[in-house]
Amino acid sequence: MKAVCWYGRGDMRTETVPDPVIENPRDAIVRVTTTAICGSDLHLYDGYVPTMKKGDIVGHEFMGEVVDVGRDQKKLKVGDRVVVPFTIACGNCFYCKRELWSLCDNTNPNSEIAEAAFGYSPSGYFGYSHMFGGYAGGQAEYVRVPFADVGPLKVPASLDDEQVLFLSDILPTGYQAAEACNLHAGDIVAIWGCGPVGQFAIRSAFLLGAERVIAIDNIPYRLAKAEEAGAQTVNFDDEDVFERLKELTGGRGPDSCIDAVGLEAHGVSLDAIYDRVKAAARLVTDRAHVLRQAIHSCRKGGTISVPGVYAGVLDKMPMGMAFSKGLTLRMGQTHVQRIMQPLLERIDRGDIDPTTIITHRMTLDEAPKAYEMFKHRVDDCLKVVMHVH
Amino acid sequence: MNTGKVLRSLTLRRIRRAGRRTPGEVQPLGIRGGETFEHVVTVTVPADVARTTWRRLFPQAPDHSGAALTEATDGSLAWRAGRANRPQSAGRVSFEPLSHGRGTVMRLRYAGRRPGAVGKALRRVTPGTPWRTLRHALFQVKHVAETGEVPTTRHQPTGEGRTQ
Repeated sequence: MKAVCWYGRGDMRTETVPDPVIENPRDAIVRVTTTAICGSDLHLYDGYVPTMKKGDIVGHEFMGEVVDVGRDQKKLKVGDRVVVPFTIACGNCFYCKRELWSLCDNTNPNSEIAEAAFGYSPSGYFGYSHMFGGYAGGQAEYVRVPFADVGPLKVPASLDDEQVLFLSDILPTGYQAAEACNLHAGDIVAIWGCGPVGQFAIRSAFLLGAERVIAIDNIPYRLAKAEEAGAQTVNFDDEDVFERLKELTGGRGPDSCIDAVGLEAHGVSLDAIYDRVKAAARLVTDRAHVLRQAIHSCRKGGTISVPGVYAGVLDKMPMGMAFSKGLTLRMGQTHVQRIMQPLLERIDRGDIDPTTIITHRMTLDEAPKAYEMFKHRVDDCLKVVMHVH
Repeated sequence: MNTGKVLRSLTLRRIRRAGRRTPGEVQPLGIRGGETFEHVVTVTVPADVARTTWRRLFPQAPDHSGAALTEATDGSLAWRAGRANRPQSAGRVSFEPLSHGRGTVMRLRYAGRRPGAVGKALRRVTPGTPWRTLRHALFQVKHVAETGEVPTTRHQPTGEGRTQ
């Protein structure tokens, strides 16, 4: 089969590799019909995520048709059309029973590595380094899906692939980020990053009752897409973000701040330049400029919600500021399995149209070019979808 | 900074540190001074299910010694390898029920003599140190007891340029 493989910084290749096979009783094999490149795949592409190995198959946003199942597979049958969550969960452990699916105890075969890094291991993910399981990813023609009786969601024929594909990650991620803000009537939410997750966080914040959303970025076409959804926008190249947010919120600050950027934050302030220098020298993995700015800008007693991925240790974190203002910090990988079904219903009702963010449709063979376009925002690239079968 | 290397070194440091640790509870295993450690993990199943799963997966000692398992009156499983008057290694797994249906704590304690020259050479060709082997065994029991299977990536495809 064809698959997109990681070979190092800036080096993705589409290669022919062996087909996956059933290994465990609850497995399924999915013939991928549509897959996508996620913003967090760019962290792999840029070499910021440790424990990748040459030849690893990447991709964690995918859907398709079930073509084989393990002997204990009770939920799926051959021919089912499914969207697969990027987090792999067993459904039986302490965490799954509490719907903390991305913290599953039983799906990371390399939990020893994750324990060395984090103390305890989160769940396994598709195509996202050996620390998170080393599972082959979904930018491929076929994928082995472990614990397929828990994660994959059957989707109705009335909805096409592009309408439901993003249930695998970015739509639930944006939604969970907004949900974590615990919104009340009249709330104002500031969202850093108008990439795909930021776009869905904007739309989700409105769905969940935010009165106003302020979107922060420096890329005009992404800010324009945020405005389409009803957000006010702040271009950080042109304005001081803290001062502008203060002005737009009557001097109080946003009730909630969402960091939809994560470890590769850009900026023009002194701390952002400091981060870039340290990251360029490989002295740190994560550039925390956005998180610092969100903590600075948030109103007293507000919430910082972090769907953007962080991988390592942050430098110069203003914990005193967060403490003195009594902020609530909420973060973590998305518990996709909890949110998929309600979001599918919202898509079906027309509450949200995930296709609005798709800018490019390509093939697996074009993946290396697609990564390059997405990284450098060529041709106003916001989201690349690859049609496989 | 190669974070992968740092993680590997952290894991190895943890293993070495664990090897030096001598928890008081390990002493009753009857081996003084050698390599001792403890692994602990919580499973969501009742103690009898955890114990049955352990016996099914590891009817003998899981440390490759081939020693027989014995069950104590408190339900713990133990093994002792080597001569009776000079054991080479010993281990015990206890199953401690938690309140409010939260499952069972499986606690594995191990004590073994430090390997001599032959033992060290053998370790190079056998799969892993006792620390790693027994951690793996404990987690295998947890995975099977809770889900019916052990997560794996064996036989999965990779790109043609894979060197490892």
